[in-house]
Amino acid sequence: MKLTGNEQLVSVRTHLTEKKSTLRTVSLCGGTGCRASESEKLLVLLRKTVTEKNIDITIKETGCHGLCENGPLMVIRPENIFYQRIQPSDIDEIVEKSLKNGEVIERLLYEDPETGRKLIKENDIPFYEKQQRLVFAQNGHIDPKSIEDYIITGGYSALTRVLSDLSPEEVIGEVEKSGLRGRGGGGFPTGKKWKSCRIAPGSSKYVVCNADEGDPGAYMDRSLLEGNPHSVIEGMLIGAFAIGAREGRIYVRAEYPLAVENIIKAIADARKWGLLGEKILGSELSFDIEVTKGGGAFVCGESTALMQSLQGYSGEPRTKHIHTTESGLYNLPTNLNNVETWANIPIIINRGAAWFNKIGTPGSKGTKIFSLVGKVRNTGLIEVPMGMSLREIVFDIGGGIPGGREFKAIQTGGPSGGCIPGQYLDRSVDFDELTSLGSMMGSGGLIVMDEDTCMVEVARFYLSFLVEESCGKCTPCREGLWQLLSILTRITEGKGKEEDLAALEEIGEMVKDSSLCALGKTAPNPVLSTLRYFKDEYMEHIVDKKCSPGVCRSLFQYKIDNEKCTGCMLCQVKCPYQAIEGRKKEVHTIDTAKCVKCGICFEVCRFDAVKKV
Amino acid sequence: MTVTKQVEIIIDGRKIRVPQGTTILKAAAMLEIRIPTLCHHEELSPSGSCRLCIVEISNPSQNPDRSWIDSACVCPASEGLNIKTHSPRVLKERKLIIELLLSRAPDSQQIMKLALENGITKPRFTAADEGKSNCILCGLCMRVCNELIKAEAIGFSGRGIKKEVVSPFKIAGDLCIGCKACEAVCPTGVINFKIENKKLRKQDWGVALEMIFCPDCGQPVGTSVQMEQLKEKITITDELLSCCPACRRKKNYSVRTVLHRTAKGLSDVSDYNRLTSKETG
Ligand SMILES: Cc1cc2nc3c(=O)[nH]c(=O)nc-3n(C[C@H](O)[C@H](O)[C@H](O)COP(=O)(O)O)c2cc1C
Ligand code: SF4
Ligand code: FES
Repeated sequence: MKLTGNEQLVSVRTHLTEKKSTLRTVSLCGGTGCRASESEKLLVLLRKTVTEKNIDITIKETGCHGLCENGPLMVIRPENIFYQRIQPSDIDEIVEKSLKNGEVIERLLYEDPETGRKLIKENDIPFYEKQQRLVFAQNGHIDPKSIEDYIITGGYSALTRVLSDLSPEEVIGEVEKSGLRGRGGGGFPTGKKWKSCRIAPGSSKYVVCNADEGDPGAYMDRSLLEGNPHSVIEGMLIGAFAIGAREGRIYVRAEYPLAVENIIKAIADARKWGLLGEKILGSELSFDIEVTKGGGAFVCGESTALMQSLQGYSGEPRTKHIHTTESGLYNLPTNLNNVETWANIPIIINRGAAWFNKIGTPGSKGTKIFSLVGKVRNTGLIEVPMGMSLREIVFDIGGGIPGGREFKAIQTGGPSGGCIPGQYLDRSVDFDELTSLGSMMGSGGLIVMDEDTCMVEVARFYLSFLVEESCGKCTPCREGLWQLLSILTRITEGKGKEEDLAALEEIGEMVKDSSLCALGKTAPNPVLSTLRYFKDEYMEHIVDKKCSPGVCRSLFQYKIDNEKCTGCMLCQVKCPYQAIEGRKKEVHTIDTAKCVKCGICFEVCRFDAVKKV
Repeated sequence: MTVTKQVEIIIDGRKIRVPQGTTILKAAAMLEIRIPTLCHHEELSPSGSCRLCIVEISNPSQNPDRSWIDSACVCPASEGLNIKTHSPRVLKERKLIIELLLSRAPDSQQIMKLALENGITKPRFTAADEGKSNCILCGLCMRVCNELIKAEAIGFSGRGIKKEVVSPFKIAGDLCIGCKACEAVCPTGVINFKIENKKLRKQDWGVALEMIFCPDCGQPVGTSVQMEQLKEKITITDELLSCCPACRRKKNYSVRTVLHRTAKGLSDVSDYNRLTSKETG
């Protein structure tokens, strides 16, 4: 069906809503995390069982719910029963009891680790309680492959409002007033960017969506494209109207097949419905979107490199003295925004800039999606208002550190972010605050580290990633990062010298200052922030030749504690290198000449007798 | 015609008015302030990659407390910029950049000279390839080949420390015309063509091109492909073309007069000649 006017969209929405509101639904999460725990198998089984038992219920596969740790997840509506960690063997019972009779199966509910209470509804779970889900509001509710689902929840109403009531300047005014800053890392004010692209002279203009997400471990943009692709399309449509662009591009990682599939399907549906193409909804707006799959290099997420890559060249940044809003893709004015930035636009138009502006801190408005991983109980995707403290995120939403270990640091901002120590846990997530702490917002990665983490090794690990990802164009980044990595490697191998610390600082500052693009300008963060907050640990490695957390293999040995060893022989049996000797019921010893420090004895010992010394 | 706006900037304490957009490098040159460069060439597109030409910039009218580092060869002048080409911060970072360049090209005379001028006597660093390539990846060779010669015979491959200059797919030397413009612009002198068995060769790029030798003195003149291309661009007899420049002059004939008479491809050929001046005199 091709919609030719605003009124038609409204009446279609009413019609669809009436038709669907009476139906019961069961949604199974088909996000990245749940798919990894075989949710697809469950879906097939569920469909089969429901058909066999002839139950009248709509089955939906939705996008990510966020609590990936506990997947696969399922929600039965309208009762809002939330099940987690579902096994194929549970399906029969779920269909029989819950889908047919509305009964709750206790065993599949979430149990609050603090109180031991079983919680029925998703929103009662502490993980969700403190979140504010705006951009992610519909993830987990709608079927991303269904444009009808998006329309029922009010989808494309921001577009109709823009087309009927607002001028391009007024739209830009709203976005400016909202205080929205880009979610791709730089935090540039979105309204200001749109304005400069609007006024830039050019025969044609582009709007581009950055879905490169080259930051390993981050998957918020992926989950948005997978779970709610129309919200990104609607944002881009509004941007195109405001800026005066006719063509759009989405640059998405090729390693995200489901995101690619869902966004392509969404674009095709939007075209069919007259929401993309010529004279959209009977207005003067004509706009279409093409999807380009990128090789997934980290540097291709940088704006100028991304545009090179879109044009088929290798992704190499150029200096930005001429802004891409003036001369970007094919030397035409180009407005690039991140996936999450685009998805914020319909919300701002629907709820109003004034409402949006009330959320967050003076300098950072709205919410931010983070991927919370590492040494924290609840890992997954979270959306919180800007200004929430790191402590609330780690301990309230994340549920604290598992295994009774101590918090050590939180790494924010992706590979070129920094590590923030415990004394700053009460600082809040805010673009400027994170930068002042020597880290950054970046794309929104949050990695929690506990006392067993070696901060020198952390710095070395990130630098090894960045050395691989540097495009190699400019000297500071290409050569400087390599030298930083060489020095860090030396230190972790126990070959560090005291003057290395000064060299790390000297090179780090230079690379930060003098590199050509933001990759190099931020890449020393992992080194500089750990030097700033964990200098003692560097000194321990260099002077005492020790790594207290027992991570750097050259700096400790495994030794069996005579007092604790019971002579059970388990370690001896498991050691792949036959490095452990000792008879049954007698104290064992490790032959350091044979030991390769694989740590298997340490893992298997039930008496805590294997020590790192 | 639109008149370019004039802007006032300060370089090392001296005021100068220049058209907006003039690079800081050019503006500094007008004041006879020398900023060292490596990857920059007037006739080629800007690269801003070696970062040797870094300067410290501030805009006191906007924020007196903030200054930043940028490369003079690409940064355009805009109203009110205050530029320091030799501040302690610049000198410290430039010195470190030279140290890093030296680690990549330890055998290069020009880099060694730069290092000495900046007080580096003993290199602290070893590059990832231990300096074997002697290439600082400035990209001049590639840009001259693509932009002026238009042969597109070489390009970058790989990323980061694995980046290198190669011929397409590292085998096909057949785009190369043997003009040696790349050899002429290379600041480290690492590009070396050799004449062996009457052919111009560069083995790692898969180049082996037939050479023409001067019938009068026997000196090598150029490759036959290059001569063919020259013939298309300038009016010259086959006899003169096959001579080396010295013998051509002896025959009282200046290539330059021919060039000026030939409208077609004028700039190409004059650039070409200047850049390959080592060869054609
Ligand atoms: C090395 C590097 C990688 C980047 N990767 C991404 C990315 O994966 N996704 C993204 O949206 N922005 C990325 N950015 C930021 C973009 O350059 C750009 O600022 C952003 O897409 C603009 O959109 P925004 O204003 O909505 O944030 C990256 C920047 C750098 C320097
Ligand atoms: S900073 Fe790094 S990624 Fe950016 S241009 Fe320089 S080498 Fe390439
Ligand atoms: S000369 Fe300016 S960056 Fe190389």
